Amino acid sequence: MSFDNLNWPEIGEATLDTLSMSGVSLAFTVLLGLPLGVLLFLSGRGQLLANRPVYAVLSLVVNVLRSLPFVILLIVMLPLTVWLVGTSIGVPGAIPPLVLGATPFFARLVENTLREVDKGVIEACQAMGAKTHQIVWMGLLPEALPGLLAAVTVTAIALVSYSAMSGAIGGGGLGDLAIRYGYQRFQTDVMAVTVLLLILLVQAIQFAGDRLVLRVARR
Amino acid sequence: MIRISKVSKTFQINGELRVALDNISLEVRAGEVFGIIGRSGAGKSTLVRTLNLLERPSSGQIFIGEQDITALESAGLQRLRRRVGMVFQHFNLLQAKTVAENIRFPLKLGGELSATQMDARVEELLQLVGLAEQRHQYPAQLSGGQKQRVGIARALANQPDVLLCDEATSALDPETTQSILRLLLDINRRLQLTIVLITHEMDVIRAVCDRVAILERGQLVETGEVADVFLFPQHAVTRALLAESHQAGATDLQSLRAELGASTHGPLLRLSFLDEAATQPLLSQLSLELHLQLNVLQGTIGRIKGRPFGQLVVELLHAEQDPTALPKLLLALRRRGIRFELLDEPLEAAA
Repeated sequence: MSFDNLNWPEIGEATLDTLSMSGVSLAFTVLLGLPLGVLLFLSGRGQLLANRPVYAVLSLVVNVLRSLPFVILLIVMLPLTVWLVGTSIGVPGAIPPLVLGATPFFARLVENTLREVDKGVIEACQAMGAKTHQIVWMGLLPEALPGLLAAVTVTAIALVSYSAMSGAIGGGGLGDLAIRYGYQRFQTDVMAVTVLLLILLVQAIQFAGDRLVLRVARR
Repeated sequence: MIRISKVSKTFQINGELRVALDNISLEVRAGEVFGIIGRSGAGKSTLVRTLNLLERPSSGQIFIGEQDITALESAGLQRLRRRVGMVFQHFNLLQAKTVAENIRFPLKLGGELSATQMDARVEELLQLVGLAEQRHQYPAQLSGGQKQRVGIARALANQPDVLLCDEATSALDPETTQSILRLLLDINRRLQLTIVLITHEMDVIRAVCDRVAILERGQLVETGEVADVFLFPQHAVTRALLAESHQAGATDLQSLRAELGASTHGPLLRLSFLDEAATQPLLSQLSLELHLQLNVLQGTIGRIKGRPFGQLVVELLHAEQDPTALPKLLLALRRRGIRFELLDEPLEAAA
């Protein structure tokens, strides 16, 4: 195998694109998914704001979005993407579908993590006279922090792999590179390098996430 | 202080109605330690949880002071809950917060104190429960007893009028239980704090409570001063609970006679003493004075919240040879003001 096809500046740029796509999408995903997950948890059966219709609707939306394969979601929401960011290609064009794809996933993870918090702790907060928002901000979220950080890590990794898929419709980044050179032009060396970079990136995210979780978990 | 008036609570479980509390009425006086005892499923946990509306009664009213708390809506309820501290069986501490942060938590909720005032209050509470050295530790690093001390400090942070203890010692070993009970008693005396505690152990009731209510299947079967309930239980459930803690007041004399069989046939007496009477050498005095022989069959001596008490089941020997023995003994007991219960029938008649 030769390495003649490798264009390092282009690879570098693609890596940065992947990082910025995943990073910006992650920020929006957490921003939207955390409240959604908290709402899913609170409206669930036997919880603080238990409300069957609300939970049913939220849960349905989350399930529908999660059951769409990401590639399909990318295509289906093209008009929405254009309306939101003015383009459907490049890094900006990739972000709305990434966020919409990852938010329901992250929200479910948040809901599950919050369910793991000892119900007795929530009850103790109630017994101390905490308002619901105080229970969430001062009790629930800090108690669930290690689990939430783990959920962010899993979501970040999912976003890296989704972002590679968005390369298929011209999203840019390492996935785009792999498809255009590695797949369409049979440049195996480019394929190998992009895959290797993706592996390294995922490893780095997991490592950093684990360290962070360990640091906040004092149990 | 607390008045529970005709409170009932029904739950719907899988479409079936279950009565957890059945028309309970009782009163807790200011400054007393009030115990509620019953087996698991008797409804005691539900009852104590209605006192801060963690559980809303299906009917009936609950007054704390002059206030009908069952009429409260969320804001008023949150204010009430800051006046009613609660301690839990499994401590329910915030795992991600240190000892000091856990105690500070309820102070932050009210938002009325400045940071310095909160620091001072936390310091005071750390001293009160003896955890000053553990202030920067996390709950996972503490022993069970230490965790419960944090739970107690946290419950006291907002200077409540009432402290509710939901099986506060049930997860602790006997020695730690004693130290937590001593702490509760100390707090009760020093702060004149009304305490309502629920437990399934008679020994806890005996150690700290002034009055006790016995619950069975959601109903209140007996209530009274702890000494009275211990020495003269009225209800079968009370007797059964006492028997579990090896209290001589528990078994009725007929079944005791049946249990002992033909080996005893003299009159059986259960003698109960409280306070000074419990500290005197009564049996030897009686036998010397009246020339009687008394055989001790069962007995408990101990303290009920610091008051000495004793309860003995004795058999009067050779009563058939001396028909005056029993009347003489009863007279002597009456003169001394000792309460007794008599079974003067042999086994055949009893059976």
